[in-house]
Amino acid sequence: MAAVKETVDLARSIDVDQYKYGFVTDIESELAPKGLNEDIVRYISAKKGEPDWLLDWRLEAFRRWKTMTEPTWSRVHYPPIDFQDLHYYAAPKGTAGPKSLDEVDPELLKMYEKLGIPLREREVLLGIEGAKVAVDAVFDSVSVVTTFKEELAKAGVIFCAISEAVREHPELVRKYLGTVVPTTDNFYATLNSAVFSDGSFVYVPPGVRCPMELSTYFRINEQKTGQFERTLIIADKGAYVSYLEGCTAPKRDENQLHAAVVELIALDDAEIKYSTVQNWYPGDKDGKGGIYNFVTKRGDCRGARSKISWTQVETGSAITWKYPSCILRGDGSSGEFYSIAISNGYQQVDSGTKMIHLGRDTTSKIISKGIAAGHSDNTYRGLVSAHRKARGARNFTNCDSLLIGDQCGAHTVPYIESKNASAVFEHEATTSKIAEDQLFYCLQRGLDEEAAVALIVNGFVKDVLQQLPMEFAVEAQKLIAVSLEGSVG
Amino acid sequence: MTVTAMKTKAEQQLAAQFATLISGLPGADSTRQRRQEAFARFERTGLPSRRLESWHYTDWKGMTGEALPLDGTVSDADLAEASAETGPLFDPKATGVLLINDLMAAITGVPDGVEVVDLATALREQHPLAGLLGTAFSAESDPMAALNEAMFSGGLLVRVGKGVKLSQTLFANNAMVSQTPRAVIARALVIVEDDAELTVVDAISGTGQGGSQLSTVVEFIVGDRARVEYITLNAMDDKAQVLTGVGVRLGRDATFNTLNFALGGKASRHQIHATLAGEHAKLGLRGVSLVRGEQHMDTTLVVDHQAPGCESRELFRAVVDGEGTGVFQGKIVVRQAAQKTDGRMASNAILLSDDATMNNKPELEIFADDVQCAHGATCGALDDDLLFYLQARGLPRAEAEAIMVQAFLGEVLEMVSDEAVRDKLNGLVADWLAARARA
Repeated sequence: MAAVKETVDLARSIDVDQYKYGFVTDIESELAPKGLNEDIVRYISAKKGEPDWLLDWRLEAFRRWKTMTEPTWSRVHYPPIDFQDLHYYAAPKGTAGPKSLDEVDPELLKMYEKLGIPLREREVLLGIEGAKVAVDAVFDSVSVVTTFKEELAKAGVIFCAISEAVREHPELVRKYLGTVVPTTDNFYATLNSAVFSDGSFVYVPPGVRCPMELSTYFRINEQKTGQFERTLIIADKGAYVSYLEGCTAPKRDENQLHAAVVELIALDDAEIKYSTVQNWYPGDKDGKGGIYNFVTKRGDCRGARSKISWTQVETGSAITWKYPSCILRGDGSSGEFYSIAISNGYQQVDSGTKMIHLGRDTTSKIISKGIAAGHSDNTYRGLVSAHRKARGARNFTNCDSLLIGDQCGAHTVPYIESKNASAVFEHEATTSKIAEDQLFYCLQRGLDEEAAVALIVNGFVKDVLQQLPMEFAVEAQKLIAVSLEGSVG
Repeated sequence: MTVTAMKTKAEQQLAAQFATLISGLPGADSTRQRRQEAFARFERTGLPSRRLESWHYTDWKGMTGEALPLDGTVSDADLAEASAETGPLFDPKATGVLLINDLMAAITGVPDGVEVVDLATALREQHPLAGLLGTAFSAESDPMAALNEAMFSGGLLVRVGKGVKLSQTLFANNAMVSQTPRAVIARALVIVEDDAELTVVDAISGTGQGGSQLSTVVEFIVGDRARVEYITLNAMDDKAQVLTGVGVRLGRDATFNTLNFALGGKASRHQIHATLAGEHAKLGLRGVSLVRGEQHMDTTLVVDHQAPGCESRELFRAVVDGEGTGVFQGKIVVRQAAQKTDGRMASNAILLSDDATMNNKPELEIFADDVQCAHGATCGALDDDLLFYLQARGLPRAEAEAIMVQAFLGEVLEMVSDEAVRDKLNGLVADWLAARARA
């Protein structure tokens, strides 16, 4: 019992001020005036030199957004957001489309170094050859640099900032943008459609297996700004791509808004693997500051036998509101969702997935591991549905929650809707604390308390960690230890 | 931006009914005051629609085209019909109460230590226990519970005295009888004092034209170490709109087991709100739903663990055929004080037809760390391999299906301790399957 008491004490004395990426980079920025109106939308569009069709698309979304109300159904609480008190565009000066890294502000490069992005990633940013991960670095509202473009181009893969894609590949962008998450989708997605600034664009042509991992690194730096990135990934027939995003932000007392939209499209026999390591600033130990992460992520398995797999490690953000989903439209398509969501301090997480079975013989699998510590609330919210024509649909869902300390909450809210008799859905969920016998066993073998708890937690999330690309699994594991520091070690 | 929705026709009718009836509804000034507050609460939400999370799968507003006249009066013709109709579970020799349109019509052999009073009379005479109304199923928790509290016209008050252990099952048979469709809103309050034991079978059935609207709330206040088994049956006609609510408040070491057997009503919803308020209380909630045709059947539970060391078990099984829709929503809440809670919930559904729908929403809401909670939900067709096995042994398809459905539901029905009642419930499953085979 003493051991348990210690764990509880540790959880009580929790300190989340361990955020390593909380520094501010002093970079001269160009800011749009505060507030949101049609002129701002035009301003952003003009800054990006966009064609008329995209401006019209943005304006239509903006007009729609004005008629919408903020959703309140999720289990998160925050003071009302003043959408007029934000900058909707912030760009480091002089970095609008640098041709090479030499043109990038050295302060910026220093920042990426300081961020402690995995070494190889940093080498990539500095242009050292050999590391096989291509990175698109997005700083506030613009993409600073994208690496390995030439090598990818040789394979026919297009990987660039979305604003560049609008210029270079308008036919592809126009064909797919907004077809998975329409401008009318929800409050934040509509806002994003009106003011999105940058993000990544990936197109993998038919039959191509993308030769390396693709990755985007998001950083919010400027004060009072919102980041609204938009990512569009298309895997054409028989293509394969694995994509990873990471994110950090400085420590600030006020809350910052991040409302992204990610659209994935997989055509016949294509496969997209999308991994997220989300480490936005979570706020301090009293719950002050931190990022509001209101994100719409959706994949469309448009083709037969296509596959979309989401893996997420969520450790940051004051509030997470995120439901990466799969629309299983093509016959025989499959969707996967693997998630580790860790909340500590006063963080609030309301996250999960939607698996919408439309086609025949579609399969989906959901593995969700929630860990709540400190004063946090951690909710899994998921939908699995089979429509009339989804003959032979199959889903397996497993969501487990672990509670560390008695001031936190863990919640599970699954929606399971079946309109087809031959669809077989199974759902199981458990909530518990770290088993005393397991802890005792580890302590017996000479591990100290922190190491023992870390070992057990790592075992708890193992199923999900295994899904991450090798390069990032190790990093993610470290991140888990850091975000639980003070509560488990 | 708040949007004030237009009142529907039914909502307008309810408001008009309330204004006319309030002065005549049973109860002294204090009750009238509570009724008014409850109605105001109801009006803030109106009839629940899918916009209300706890009614996510049942659009009661849409299903209630109009509010039928609220009228419990029984004519001689009704009485004759009801007396002939003993209901599917009622044992005429047993101890019991016959209610017609939720008004007490006859009562036989009430044992010593048990008090059964007509609720309207209890309120008029200011029965000391009547103040407990609304404490196990609060008007604040649900708009339809609020509407019930505002407008109920009658029902029962039952008290089982301290230490009184009833060996015989008590039957409450509620016949909805009417030559024209009408609405009945009724309420019952059952107080089981410390160390008492009680088994109740509560069945509602409908005769006459059918198509009535029924709303009942039964509240159980269960004392320390008391034990209750409560079996409910909804055998209403398939045109009726049925809303049944059960509120339970458990004392220390108390045990409450309930089983709801639902097969009636065009649209029905069974709500259970259970509060484990005393340490080491045990709760068992079980249910069987048989859905066919265009029926819509909803079961919604909220199990609130407030005290430490309690245990709850929920097992609900639905069989959905035709174009029917089954709904299960179950929420286990574990408060911070409720350490050492052990909660387990399972919802299983079998879809027998391609046009059937099942919606499942099992929820956990946990604020205590030293707990063991789990839920499971499954949904699918009958296992083809098992069907093949039975057919290979010469059973026709329909019979093979019937055996599997009976086995599936039998597991739930097993918990009914009164053998005669259990046999009758199994008989109802068999009848339902036989009707299916004929169709």
